[in-house]
Amino acid sequence: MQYQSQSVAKPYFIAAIGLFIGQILFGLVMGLQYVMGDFLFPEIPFNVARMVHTNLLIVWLLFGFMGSAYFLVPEESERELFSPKLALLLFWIFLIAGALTILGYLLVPYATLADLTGNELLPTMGREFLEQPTITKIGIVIVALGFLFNIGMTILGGRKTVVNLVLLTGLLGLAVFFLFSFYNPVNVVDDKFYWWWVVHLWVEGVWELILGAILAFVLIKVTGVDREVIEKWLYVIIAMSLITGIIGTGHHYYWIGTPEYWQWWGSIFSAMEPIPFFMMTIFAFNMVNRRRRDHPNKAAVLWALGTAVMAFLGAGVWGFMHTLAPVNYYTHGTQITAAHGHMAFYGAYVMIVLTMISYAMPIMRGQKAANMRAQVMEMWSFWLMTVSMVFITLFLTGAGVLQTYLQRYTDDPLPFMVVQDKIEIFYWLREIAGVVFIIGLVLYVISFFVKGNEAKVVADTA
Amino acid sequence: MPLWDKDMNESEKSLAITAEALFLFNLLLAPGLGFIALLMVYALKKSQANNLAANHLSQTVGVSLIGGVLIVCVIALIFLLGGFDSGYTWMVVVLYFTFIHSSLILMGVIGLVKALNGEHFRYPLIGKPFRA
Repeated sequence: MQYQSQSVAKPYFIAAIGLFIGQILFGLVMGLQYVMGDFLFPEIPFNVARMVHTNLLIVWLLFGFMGSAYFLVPEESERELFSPKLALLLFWIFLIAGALTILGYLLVPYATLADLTGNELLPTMGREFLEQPTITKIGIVIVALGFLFNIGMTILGGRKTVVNLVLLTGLLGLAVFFLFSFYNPVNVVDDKFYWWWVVHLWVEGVWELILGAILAFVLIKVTGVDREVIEKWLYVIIAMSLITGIIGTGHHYYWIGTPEYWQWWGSIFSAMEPIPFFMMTIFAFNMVNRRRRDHPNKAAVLWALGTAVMAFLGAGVWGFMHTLAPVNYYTHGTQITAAHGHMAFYGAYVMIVLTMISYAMPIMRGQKAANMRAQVMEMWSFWLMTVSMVFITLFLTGAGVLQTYLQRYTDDPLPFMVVQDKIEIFYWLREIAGVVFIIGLVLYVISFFVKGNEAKVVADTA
Repeated sequence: MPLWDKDMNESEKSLAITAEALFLFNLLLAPGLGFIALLMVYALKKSQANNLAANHLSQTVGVSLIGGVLIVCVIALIFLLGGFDSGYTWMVVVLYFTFIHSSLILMGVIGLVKALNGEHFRYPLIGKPFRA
């Protein structure tokens, strides 16, 4: 490790993986509730399981992004982190606040949680993905400001590279757009309009900058390709992300009461949203093909390539599938959306965090790369999780197409619950794929504890 | 390396890149038009193409043809057998089309990367009959 303070990333990564396991467990519970409605009722009702599943995803990805930034920024800036102590303090604040929030969801009814946390003073609760009590949201803002201060001071006092400036821009955008979660107008059209400024402009806007910066950093390290080449690619990719993603927000405005012109703006710009992901795929494969060194960490290279491919498929292809207004008129809010959501989040954001962990963890444990046995197990986990996610997506897509046709397209539409019965088989298949996914995740965790000949890995590739 | 060799290599490489780019253009932006452009390049440049360019031209044209059959003909057959008025037919068509189309794009990306680096490429499975 070049800088001692990079090690503050370690607790962030460990927390991220722990919460990831929790997220998947609640995903499996929900998957079962789709076909066995009373499963764990009334202890964990479906709406609570869903809230925990999605909130844990957001929280662990934020832990992953922060850990990645704490590892990446000192190395790029060529100096120690401004304040490692502040980074550790914020870690504990975020972890405790996050854990208390999840416990609150699980232990008391949501309305009681709102009362207990003083939601009536500044009402922000009750909206999908932004269910956190207002006090937790304030905590997130404090953590984000402290984090940005720490990262920003490190970059300002050190070397400025394209990678750390793009990362900083993405993280700044993440914090700024989260502020819209405090805006909760009475008018539901206004509410939804600005709600998307958090949700869409995060995942199809500023998070793509974070993704691009982390991917570029890992590729510089594992391929040895000139920084200038990688930085040029990064410029073009993030430019395309913002050009298409910002006005692409319009694909959420088709049917919420906004003017009709959004159907045009949304369709045109979001049809171009796969472009940056397509470029990212060419970028990753090109850099690996042009590599000037054989890095011993094969698993990290696999994760990096996997990120590019799966992000293109999940965010690009599956996004395009239902993004045009005339298609979305029929498919809106069906299982096709769930299919897209699963593969896009996994491909773009889960995998980039795992790429960074795969690259950074061995270094923080004093090795250049994990031993070969551990890497083989990690690669097994890569394939199990990735292939099962492909199947989850395919089963949900099958369910979604059938649902769209039977419930909305045919001359004789069937009621929602009748259709749900007809697509039950897909939910069972999705659940089986989910079980395979968690097996992959368990292998991933075990891979950190597999012993082998670490020295040989470095010697073989030296 | 003599200057004329270097020039020849560069023109070979740019022809290979053009072929792979048109292959992707056909899949992503202008189905049909992209293929016509690829065929024109193939017809005009085939005689001048040596090893590298001939490999990429032959692969992209051949795989485009097979890909076209896999997409157009097989989907037509699915509709013929299943009928337009069945949700199950649409489900099979959407999944089948997405699978084939995405696979061709990803293979095209690898083909383009190989061309950019002046390397030969054979498309997996369906590229076998064409010049490697």
